[in-house]
Amino acid sequence: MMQTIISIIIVIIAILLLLRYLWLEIKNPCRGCTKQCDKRRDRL
Amino acid sequence: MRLSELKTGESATVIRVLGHGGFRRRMMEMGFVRGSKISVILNAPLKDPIEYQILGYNLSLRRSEAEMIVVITEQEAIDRLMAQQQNVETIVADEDIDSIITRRKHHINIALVGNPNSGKTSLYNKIAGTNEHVGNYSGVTVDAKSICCRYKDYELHITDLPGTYALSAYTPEERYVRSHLANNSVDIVLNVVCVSNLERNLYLTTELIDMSQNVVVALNMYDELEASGATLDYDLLGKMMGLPMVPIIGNTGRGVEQLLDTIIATYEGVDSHTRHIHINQGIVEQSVVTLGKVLKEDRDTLPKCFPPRYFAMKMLEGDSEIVDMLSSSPNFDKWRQIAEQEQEHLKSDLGDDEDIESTFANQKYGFILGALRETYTENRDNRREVMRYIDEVVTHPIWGYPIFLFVMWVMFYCTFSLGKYPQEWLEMGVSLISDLFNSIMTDGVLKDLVVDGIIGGVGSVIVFLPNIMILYLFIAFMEDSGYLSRAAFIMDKLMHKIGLHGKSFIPLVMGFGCNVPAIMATRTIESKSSRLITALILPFMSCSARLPVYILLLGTFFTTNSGTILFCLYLLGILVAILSARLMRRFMFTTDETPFVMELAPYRIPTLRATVSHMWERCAEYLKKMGGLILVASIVVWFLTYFPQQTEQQTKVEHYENSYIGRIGKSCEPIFEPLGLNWKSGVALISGIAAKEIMVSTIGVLYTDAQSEQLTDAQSDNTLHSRLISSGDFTTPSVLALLVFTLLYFPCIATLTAIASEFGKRWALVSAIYSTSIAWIFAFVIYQIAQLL
Repeated sequence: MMQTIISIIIVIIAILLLLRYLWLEIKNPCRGCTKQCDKRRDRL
Repeated sequence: MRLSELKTGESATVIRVLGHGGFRRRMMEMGFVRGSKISVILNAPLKDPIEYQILGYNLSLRRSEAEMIVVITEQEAIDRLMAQQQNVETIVADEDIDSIITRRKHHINIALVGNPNSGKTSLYNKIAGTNEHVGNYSGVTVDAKSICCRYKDYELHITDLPGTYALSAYTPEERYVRSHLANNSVDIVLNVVCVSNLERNLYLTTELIDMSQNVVVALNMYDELEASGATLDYDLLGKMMGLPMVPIIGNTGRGVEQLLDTIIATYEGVDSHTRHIHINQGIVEQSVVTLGKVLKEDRDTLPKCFPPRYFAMKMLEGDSEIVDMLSSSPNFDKWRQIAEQEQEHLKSDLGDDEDIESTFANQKYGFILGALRETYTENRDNRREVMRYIDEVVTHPIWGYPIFLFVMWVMFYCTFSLGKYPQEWLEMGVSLISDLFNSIMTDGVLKDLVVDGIIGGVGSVIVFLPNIMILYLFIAFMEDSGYLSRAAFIMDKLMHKIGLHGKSFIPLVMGFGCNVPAIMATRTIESKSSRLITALILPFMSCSARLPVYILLLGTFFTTNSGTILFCLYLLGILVAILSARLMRRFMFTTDETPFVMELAPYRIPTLRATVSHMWERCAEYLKKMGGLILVASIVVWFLTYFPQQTEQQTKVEHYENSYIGRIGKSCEPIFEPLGLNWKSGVALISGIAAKEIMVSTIGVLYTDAQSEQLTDAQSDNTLHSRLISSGDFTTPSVLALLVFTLLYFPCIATLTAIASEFGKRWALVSAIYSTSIAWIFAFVIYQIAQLL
């Protein structure tokens, strides 16, 4: 029973995190990697 | 605020006078110096001119002139003080205003300009690296980034502008940079010049001289010049051009401090090199002087952002943007008439061989050449010869293509064959961890979640880290060495044939890494239609996220020639991209707006440190994804696979089919059935929409132990490979169809969002529908052909 409760909590957190990740991705697709993009563009 | 913004009766203190040359001098002579008190007496009808009182006398200024004077009001001073301290007296003492003015005086607006690939961003990052705040400001077609930093009591506000070769109205970048210089009160233009190509880089500098800007030149990559044995008397060159020059190495930061000191000295007007020069325009000079003189006489009605001489040159050139800028002036018709007369004269003088624009360019290059002849000594070393020889081979009209293909093949072959061994070690590690959790945890839902969901999902993706590392090592090496720009050069003709620019090749190559930055990189393409076509075909460039899927399937079902098939898959992606571009150019965008010019960067031997660090950056991102998106997606997929829970009457296969994910998969099965794919592959493909790596983790979760009872002794190593083989779900044609569908279908959410933000939602939808339809058609055709063979 305990295992099931913990698992369900983990799954709910995972679903929320997944939705958050997708939402952030939609808001800014290149978040966190702008500097790296610039570097590559510079090298190219 | 600007003086023109003051209302009748208001008063303020002068901070500084913008503009340059005669106007600025005249204003300062009239008492518009820092700290002078000024008040508005009255506004004339139609609010122009305005009468002011300064130093006890009255004078009138046109609104356009008042716009060039920066002032601070008492209220503004109070606001500023309040921002700094909680309690403030209602009456602000003169000393307070003085201290604010001093601080404002110590605020330097710097615009970073230079040719593309001159190392502007490296320098910018070097300065930004030690500073407080970095902001991103998007333009319509190009980007400018800004940072604010402190250096020796000065606040430097640096704006990194897009790379340009000149400052005409030819490309969006050029227009953007010029309008930034015109509309923002730039104190210093920091011109980054790459010393490996002084002549071309200094052309932009001559344009800045024409604009009468305060310029400081950073001679970047100076170590390359020193290493080549060439010498440059940059002090003398600076004196000739009337601006200070500082040698720097942007990557290491050498000379950056001296550069910042020079910027401050120039801003304070104490730099000995700074003086305003006029570049003689030869045969055109007389016309420039004639028109310039008239403009100077009418300077009251002329915009103050550039000097009259610059406007004269641009009017003679027929620069449409400058003509538009001047057209609102009441004297415009007179100026246009004179400009047209002068243009007629010049046309008859120049004949048919040369036009006015190219004469200006020739004169500027002549000036640069003359200056360099006196200051620059080239060392004809073997390096250039070697470079030329390498170029002859790798860009050979016939051998260039096979060499390129061979390099690509080696890359994919190594990705596969070299990556196989560390991949096996990682698989063993994952298996050990799985066994460990299996033994220490008691049976139940949580154990299944940890072992099948988390370890099964993340573990199945993480094992491909070595392959990703090898692929990125190759890409970083090719980028750093300058080979990729050669590849773009040899592809130019092919690109033209399919209706694209050679320049499109760079984003397309970047697409092999990740499609998102590649979509952003299309901004460097001037032609709108080429840019859109490039973005629409980019998802066909197989990004590194798809690599784990290929390696899993090829390593399982095509062990003997997996490297070659992987290479063929990438080629198929390129081929589909070419065909799509051809079709789009033929039916959707029939005309291309701009010609193609691209520079070839010199070869550089990449340092081990730089290459490894580029590779590591990518791998770190991959690992971050493992701990984030892949982990949560694996848990969600496991949940959908596990529930509703298995009943005693159900076999494992029946339970899977009855689970939530089984029901979703079954409902989509009709779409994938003609491709020889079952519902599990369909579910994996759907999950790949979020990110392509999730496909592997989904397969990892779906094939955890469903068929473990069917494993033979030979396959009992219980790796994902053996589980996939023993499942009997895949045949050679169906694996090929799955590979092709994965290669071509729906771009991931991030790519789609990038397309939507760059080109609009409509084009993102077009991209999603188009790529998925193409993927289905190709997968179907390949499945049918493979079945016949």
